[in-house]
Amino acid sequence: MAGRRRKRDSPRELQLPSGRHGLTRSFVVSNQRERIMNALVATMTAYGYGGSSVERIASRAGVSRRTFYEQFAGREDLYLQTYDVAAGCLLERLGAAWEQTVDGSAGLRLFLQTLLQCIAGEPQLARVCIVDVLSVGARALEHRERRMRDFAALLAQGALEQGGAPPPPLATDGLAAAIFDAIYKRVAHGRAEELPDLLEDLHSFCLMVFQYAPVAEPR
Amino acid sequence: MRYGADADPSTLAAYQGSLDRVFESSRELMAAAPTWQACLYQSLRACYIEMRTHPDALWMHFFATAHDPAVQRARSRHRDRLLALLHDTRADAPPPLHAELLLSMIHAAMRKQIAGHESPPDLDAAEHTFATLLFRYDVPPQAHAC
Repeated sequence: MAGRRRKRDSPRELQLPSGRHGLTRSFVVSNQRERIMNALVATMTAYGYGGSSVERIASRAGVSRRTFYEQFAGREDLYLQTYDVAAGCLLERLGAAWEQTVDGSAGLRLFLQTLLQCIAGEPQLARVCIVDVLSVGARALEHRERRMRDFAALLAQGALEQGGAPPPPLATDGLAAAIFDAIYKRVAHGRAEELPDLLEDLHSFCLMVFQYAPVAEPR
Repeated sequence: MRYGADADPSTLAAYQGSLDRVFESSRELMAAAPTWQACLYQSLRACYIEMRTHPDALWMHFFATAHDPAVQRARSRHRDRLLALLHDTRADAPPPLHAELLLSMIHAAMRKQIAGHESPPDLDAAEHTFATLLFRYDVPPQAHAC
């Protein structure tokens, strides 16, 4: 439409030109998937899960209903795949954070910093995956449980490999849940940008749970 | 998991009543306890006794809170007022985020324990969990040590 500018960051920004464009089929499919996933996040941010119909999502992504159903079985399938991509990406970055340092205390700090910054950097996606997941349904909760176990295992494994002591069996899962409770609370209240400010206290708490050996004061 | 049965208003009101009773008893216990850990221990103990006596409240407190936003909000408000009470009452209270994490950690540990049994663990087992996690807390090591 002449004179009408598309909103920046709209999923339609990624829309490919129509007609013959010489792009491979796999590139087009991947681009459409990304647009549809971005559209889910934008639509859920505006209307919640209940108000995010396939029509609305497809329209926002600039694809037809038919294209939508070629890629996803339905709205719930789209949500679950988006959730898994986002959680997988976060876990991958957290795993990489452990590998960047050899000093246990600094490694744990970088791990937590990466966690807080990643989530604070994507407030809409964070809300969709951390807060709205509660209202999507039983399958979404199963995915959440699985990813929480992955997160708890990654946290414990990294901490133990880098100088921490094994905490009581219930503490590892409990710590992972507690960290996400604290994140949930800020994201749910629209205060995701405050998350990086939690780093020092969160770090000192985790050091205590994993009972890192205190480092001698410099003389 | 009993998913999908969101709390009806009367069950939610009964749960809120349980939380209010826990808060009232915590208000009395907190000032009298010798340390902040002892005061949280007493408060957690009072909470578990209340929940164990009211199975619907126990279900909501530990499980429905994971999928029912109304229950989640009620529990979250309760936790926040408990934390505020701790910091208003106790000069020896830990940093606010530490207390928040401790409460969440103990809640998650209890949830796991309850889920693994046919009936909720007895008070002795619950007290053991509170003590193990609460008294592990000590003066935090230096955060910047590296």
